Amino acid sequence: MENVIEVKNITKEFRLPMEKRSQLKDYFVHPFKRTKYREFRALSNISFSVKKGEFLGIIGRNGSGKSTLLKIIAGIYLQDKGKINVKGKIVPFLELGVGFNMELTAKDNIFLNGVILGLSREEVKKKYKEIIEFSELQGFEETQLKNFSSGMQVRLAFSIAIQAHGDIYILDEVLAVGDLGFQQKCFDMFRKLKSQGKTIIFVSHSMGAIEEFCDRVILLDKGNIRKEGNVLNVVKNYSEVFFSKTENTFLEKDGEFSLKILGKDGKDKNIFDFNEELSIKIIYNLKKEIISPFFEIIITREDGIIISAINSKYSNLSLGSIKGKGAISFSVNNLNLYPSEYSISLVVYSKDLNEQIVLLEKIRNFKTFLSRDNIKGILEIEGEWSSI
Amino acid sequence: MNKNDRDLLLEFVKTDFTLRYNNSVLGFLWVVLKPLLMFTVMYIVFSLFLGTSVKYYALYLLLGIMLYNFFNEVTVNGMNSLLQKKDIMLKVNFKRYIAVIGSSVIALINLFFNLIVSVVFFIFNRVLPSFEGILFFLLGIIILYILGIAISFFISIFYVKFRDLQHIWEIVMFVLFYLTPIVYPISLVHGKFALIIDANPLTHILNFARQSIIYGKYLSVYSTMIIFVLSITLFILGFYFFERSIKKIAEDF
Repeated sequence: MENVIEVKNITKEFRLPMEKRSQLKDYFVHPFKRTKYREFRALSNISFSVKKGEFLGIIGRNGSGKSTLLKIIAGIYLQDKGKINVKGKIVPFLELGVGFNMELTAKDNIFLNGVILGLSREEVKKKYKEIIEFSELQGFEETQLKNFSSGMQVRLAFSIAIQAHGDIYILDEVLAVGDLGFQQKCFDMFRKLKSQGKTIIFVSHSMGAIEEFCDRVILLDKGNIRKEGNVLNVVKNYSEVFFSKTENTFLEKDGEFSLKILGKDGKDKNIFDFNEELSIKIIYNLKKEIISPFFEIIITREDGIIISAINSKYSNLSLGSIKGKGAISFSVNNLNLYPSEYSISLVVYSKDLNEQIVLLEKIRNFKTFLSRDNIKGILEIEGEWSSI
Repeated sequence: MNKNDRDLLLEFVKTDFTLRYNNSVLGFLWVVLKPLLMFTVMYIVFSLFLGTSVKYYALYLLLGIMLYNFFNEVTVNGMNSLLQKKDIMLKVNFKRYIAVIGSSVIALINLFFNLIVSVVFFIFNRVLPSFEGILFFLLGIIILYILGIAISFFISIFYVKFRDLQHIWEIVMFVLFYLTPIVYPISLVHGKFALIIDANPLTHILNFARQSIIYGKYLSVYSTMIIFVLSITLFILGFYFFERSIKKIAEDF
C-alpha cells in the first residue's frame, strides 16, 4: 500500500513571550526593549508515515504534542523543520459546527458549515434533506441557531459533519463532546469509515476506542514518539507513561497521606476491565492523633459526574483513634463501571462528619474498558436473568 | 481559485450579507443612512455656514463621502477578516486570502445601494452623466477597491499581531478624510498643505471619479493611471507578503 502521509523529521517550536506584547503601543513606549521568549518545543524530530486505508491512533498526555501534530498535518500550523507530504484531501472530521453563526438560520448554517468542511454547494443542496432529517430538525430550518438548544446544535453539526468526505480523515478528541448516545453515533460512523477503507488519524484519550478501531498507535511524550506499533503494546506503555507509578505522598497539616489503586494481584494498576476486582489502599502517617476517623473515597467520572462517595462510617470498620503509620483499604469485587476515565478523591473526617481533616481532590485516576456494542449508562447493575 | 474556493467565498459573502441586511429591518436603512447623515451635517456646516462656491456641491460632497466610506469599509473589514474567522482557520485549511477578499464584497454591495440613492441627487441637480463619465467613475471605484484590498493584505496580518491597530487605523482614516478633498474643493488648497494633499492617492482617485461623472471633465487622468499601476503593484506585493506571513500567523490567533 502506498503512503498517503509522510512525515519526516518534523520539529515545531512555539515562542511564548514572557510578557505579552500584542500592542503597537508597547513598541512605542519601550522601543528598544527586546521581548524575551521562552522556547517551547512541541514536537521534536518526528517521523512516521501512514498507509492508505490505515486507522492510526495517536495517544499521549495533554501537552504531548498531539494536537500540534494534527494541525501540522492539516496544514494549519507550519513546521519549523522537516517535511510533510500529504496525498489526498484532508477532512477535519467531526469538527462540530466550525463556522456556525448563531444569528443565521439552520439552513444558512448548513450551507456555510458544509462548504467549510469541503462540500460543494451543489452537494450540500443534494444532501440538505438528508441532513435535516438526520438531525430531526424538520420545521426548524428557518430558525436562528441561537434559539436552538445545545443538543439541537450538536445534532445539526453532527449531521453535517458526517456528510463531509475526503481521502484522509482527522479526528481530534471527538469523544470529549456529547453524551453517550452521541458517542455511540460516532463509533458507528468510525466503523462505517473503516469498512470503506478510508485513511483515518484518530487522537483520543479513550483507550477503549483506540483499542477497538486502530490498526497502529503512536504514543507521543513531550514531543517525541515514545512508542509506535501494535495497539496493545502501545496502550500498555501509555498507561505507564500516563499514570506514573511514583508514589505521590500528600503532606497535609495533620500528616502524610497517599493513595494507591491496586489490581487483583495487589500490584499498582490503572486500567481495568469493566468488571474487574479493584482495591484502593490509603496509607497514612499521622503526626497528631485523630479520634474515631472516617475515610471517604469519592469516585468521579471524567465528565464530572460523581459515581459514588463511599464512607467508612457506614461500614463495620471502626478505627478508634489512629496515630503514626498505618493503612486501610477498600476493595470491590466487581467494579462494573462502563468505559471512561475516573478519578478518586480522598476525604478524612474526625469524630463525626462535621470536622473535615483532609481533602485531596482527584489524586488518582483509573480507566475502565469494555469491548461491547451499545454501551449505555454509567454502570452495570448486577443481577440475574432467568426465564420464569 | 477552484470550485470549492469560490463556493467558500460565496458562503462568506452570503453570511455577511444576511447578517447585515436580513436580520434587521433597519439593516438596509442604516447602510444608506450613515453616509446621508454624514452628508447632511457636512453640507450644513460647509455650505450654509462657511459657504462654498463649488458647483453641484451637494453631489460633490455626497459622492466623496460615499467613495471614502467605501474605501474605509474595505480596509476595516479586511483588517478584521482574519481574526473574525480565526475559529475556522484553526480547524480547516482553506486559502486564507478568501477571508480577506470575502470581507470586502459587502463593502461593494453597500456602495452599490448608496449609489442608487445618489441617483436621486443627480436627478434633483439635473445632472446627466455621460457614458464615458460613468465608465471613468467605475474605473475610479475599481482602483479604489484594488488599493483597499492591497492595504488589507498588510493590515490584516499586522492586526493579528498588534491588536491596537484597530484604534490606530481609525485615526489614520479620520485624518485621511480631511487630507482628501471631500468636503472642500482641491482648488482651495494652497502652499505646503497642497503637497500633502497631492501626495495622497485618494485625492487623485476621488477627483478623477467625481469630476468625470458630475462635470464630465477628465482631470487627474495621468496621475490616476499612475496610481492604478501602483495599486496593482501594491496588490501583488501585498498578496506576496500575505501568503508568506499567513503560514505562521495561526499561532498568534
